[in-house]
Amino acid sequence: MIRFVGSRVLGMLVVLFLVTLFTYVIFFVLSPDPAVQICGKNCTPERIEQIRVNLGLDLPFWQQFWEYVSGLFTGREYVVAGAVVTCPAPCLGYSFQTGQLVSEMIVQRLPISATIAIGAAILWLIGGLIGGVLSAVHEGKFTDKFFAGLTLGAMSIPNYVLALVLQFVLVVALGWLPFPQAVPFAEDPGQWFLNFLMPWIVLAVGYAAVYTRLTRANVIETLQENFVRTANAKGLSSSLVWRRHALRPALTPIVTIFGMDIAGLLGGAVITETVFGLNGVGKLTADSISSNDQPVIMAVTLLSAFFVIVGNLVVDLLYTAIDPRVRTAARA
Amino acid sequence: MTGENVNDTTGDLLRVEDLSVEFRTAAGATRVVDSVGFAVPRGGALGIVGESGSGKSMTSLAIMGLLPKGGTATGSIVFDGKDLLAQRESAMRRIRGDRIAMIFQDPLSSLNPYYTVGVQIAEAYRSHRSGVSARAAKKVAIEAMERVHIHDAARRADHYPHQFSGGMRQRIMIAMALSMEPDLIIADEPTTALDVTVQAQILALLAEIRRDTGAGLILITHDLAVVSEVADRIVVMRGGRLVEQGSVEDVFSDPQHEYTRRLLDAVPRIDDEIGELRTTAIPVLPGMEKR
Amino acid sequence: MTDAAPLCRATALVKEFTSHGPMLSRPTTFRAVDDVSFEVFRGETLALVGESGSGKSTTARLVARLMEPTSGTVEFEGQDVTSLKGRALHSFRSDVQVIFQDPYSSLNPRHTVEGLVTAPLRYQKRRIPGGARAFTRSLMERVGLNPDHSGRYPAQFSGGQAQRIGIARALAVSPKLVICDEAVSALDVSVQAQVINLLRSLQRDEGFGYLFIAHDLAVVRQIATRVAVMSRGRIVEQGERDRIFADPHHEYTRTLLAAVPRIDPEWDARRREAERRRAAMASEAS
Repeated sequence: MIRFVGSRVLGMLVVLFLVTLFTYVIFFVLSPDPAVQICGKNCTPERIEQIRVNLGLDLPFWQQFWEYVSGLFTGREYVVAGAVVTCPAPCLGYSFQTGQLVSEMIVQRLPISATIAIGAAILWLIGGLIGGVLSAVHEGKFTDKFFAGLTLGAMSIPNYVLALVLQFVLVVALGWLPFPQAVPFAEDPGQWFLNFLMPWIVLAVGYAAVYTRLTRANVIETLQENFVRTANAKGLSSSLVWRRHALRPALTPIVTIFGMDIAGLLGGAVITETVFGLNGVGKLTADSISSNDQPVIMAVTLLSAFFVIVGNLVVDLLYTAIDPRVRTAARA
Repeated sequence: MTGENVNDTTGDLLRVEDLSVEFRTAAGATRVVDSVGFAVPRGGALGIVGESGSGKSMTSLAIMGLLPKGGTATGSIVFDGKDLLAQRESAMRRIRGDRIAMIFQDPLSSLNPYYTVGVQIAEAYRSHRSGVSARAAKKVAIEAMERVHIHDAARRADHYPHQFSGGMRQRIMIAMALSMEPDLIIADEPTTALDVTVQAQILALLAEIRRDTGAGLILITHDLAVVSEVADRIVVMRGGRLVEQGSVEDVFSDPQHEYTRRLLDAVPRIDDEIGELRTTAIPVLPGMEKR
Repeated sequence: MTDAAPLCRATALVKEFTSHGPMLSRPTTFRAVDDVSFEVFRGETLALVGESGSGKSTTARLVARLMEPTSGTVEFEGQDVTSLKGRALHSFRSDVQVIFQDPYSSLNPRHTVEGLVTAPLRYQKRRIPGGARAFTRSLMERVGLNPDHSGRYPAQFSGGQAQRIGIARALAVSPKLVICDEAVSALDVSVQAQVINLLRSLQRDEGFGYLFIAHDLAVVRQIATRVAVMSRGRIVEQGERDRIFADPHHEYTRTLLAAVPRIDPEWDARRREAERRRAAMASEAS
């Protein structure tokens, strides 16, 4: 078992390293000279050169990469205007736009992205499971067709269209909900809830549709399994057959997909946050791309990759806990 | 066997009369079982033989009330004085697993991979008897596993189905069937997926159980040799219809129907080479052959 | 009994499979075939019998060169074919053909019978004698199929008929050795008997050798000249068919034979007697 976990963690570290390298190469090759950017207007070639030396941009690629990676673990030191500035670990640099420590910017915004992601996840999981099970139980009948149409519509609407429409209807026209703002939970739970409700709904809708279809397919397939027939042949009560022999095998794979989806969203729901003007990591991503703020772009990319890769590992390990076949293979 | 009064039905464990099974699809209705009738005497063993498409499996599912979606059964199936086809689902659930137990062909897919075998064997017991604790049920499960000669049963009850070999899994299925001491066991191709040596063990086990408990057996198979060794009576099915029935000895020694004769001719014998296996005259019904 | 050189000879064949566990653990090796040697002669059938996991199917694949052995040699008509590659392997393929257990998964469902049957010749860039259509039709007749169905797809045929397509395909290149890998195991009893008869008559007419892989001893009784019994990758006993069945030497062979269910031969005798009486009465009446 240790071997199994150990080998997975090792694999994860390798992938993380490769992703970092790959991302760094892309920025190195594709981005315009950062020194020029920082310098801004009224720039002289000498100043550009000076900035380049300060930021270590005149060093060979591998050295720059090494500086970056080691900075993630031990922090870095920059020389700016004669003074030495320390960037504590994990050092993701300073924003070209605002001059802030990138790591600070992310830490500020992470809770909002997490709130959006987790709230939406709960909504879509419950919605998807209920929709899926109902569709499966009433396969072919009106309920099933209703959900099929509903999910098709939900998957077809672009995120931002739904966001704008909902905002118009619920906030402007009906005044039921406020314009979303990040209200801290501690301050006012009720307002906090109402503020996040629309972003949650907007984000959850697309996923709920997919989960409904996925659940439906899994349940229908599981109901055909021979062990369900055995369970019925033993004369078990229909609720026991449902719980143990239909739902458990059908829904287990969905839990793992759920883990992956949340992990992906922790890196920020870019469109949703931007449309609602919520300062999460997603909005930061959008802003930094449009202003070409390299260190920030690099940082959010790495963050997102980190969450996905770790999420993958967690899901893998989760599977050993819940699927006996994987568990015994892992022990061997 | 010959000379028994076939009109004396009071000793029958199960009596099937004029059973038909139909499936309704968009294309119309198909009869997969057509007016079949037979009886299983108390403690007796009946073999239902047929090739693919003969309707033998559907017949057994109709008895258990487990027909797939779209299937309806008509006729009468009398078990213990009750017509099973007239029972409500709740009454059938009480009978299934308790009075009539069923064993299927592929033991791996017939067991839930997410639960231990101990739990799955104990399930039926806990479901049918009220107020049974998990511990007591587990004891019953372990006893059932020991009855089917699974070594180290107490420990292995906590193992999962995929940790057992094919033959062991079939023993587990039998243990599940046994745990409630049913009056009738229906086995649908129980040994088809198993090696021949394992098959011999499983068939011997079934015989032992029948001796100990007096349970009746319906064995469904395509293998005539197996039927000849296991059953007292045989029913031959083809294309949903019952072609011939009688005692195994009578039907094998002097088959009345042409199809039965040709079928017996076609079975390869291990004891000698038959020369040209006489097969030319069995007309294969359209759509009846194995796909 | 032939004293001619064997058509095919396998010597000390070994096939190991290695499985790699998680990244940090040592790989485990499994010997599916362990020091197997046998010969197949022209016009005869060698049956490889065994239960699941005995290694018989793997052995068949080694002989057919669908896999390479870990060690050991395969000789065909005196030549070592163990490590053939490229063109030489190609021409070996026209000498040795395989018929598989499940026709529906070994026949490409998107090809018509004509396509399937002429494929081996086309892949080997050989001329199709008489043209594709005529060639297909004559092959179909040989195996007992209706030649008018040459444009149909495998799914449109029943199990037994689809298996005949597989046989026709094997015949297309006029092989010298045909390997039957559980070729009749998935068929209904009556159809199985027809296909066994077909295989026997084809062997009589063409004179090829069969390597017949099976688990059903009763079927083997009908078709084999010699029998090799396998267990856990090794051949525990081999010899003339009648000898093996009447006087098995090895413990495992005895267990295997004892386990096979039998129809009481006395019942068979009575049935045949009743049949004779009926035939006699019928001819008397006419």
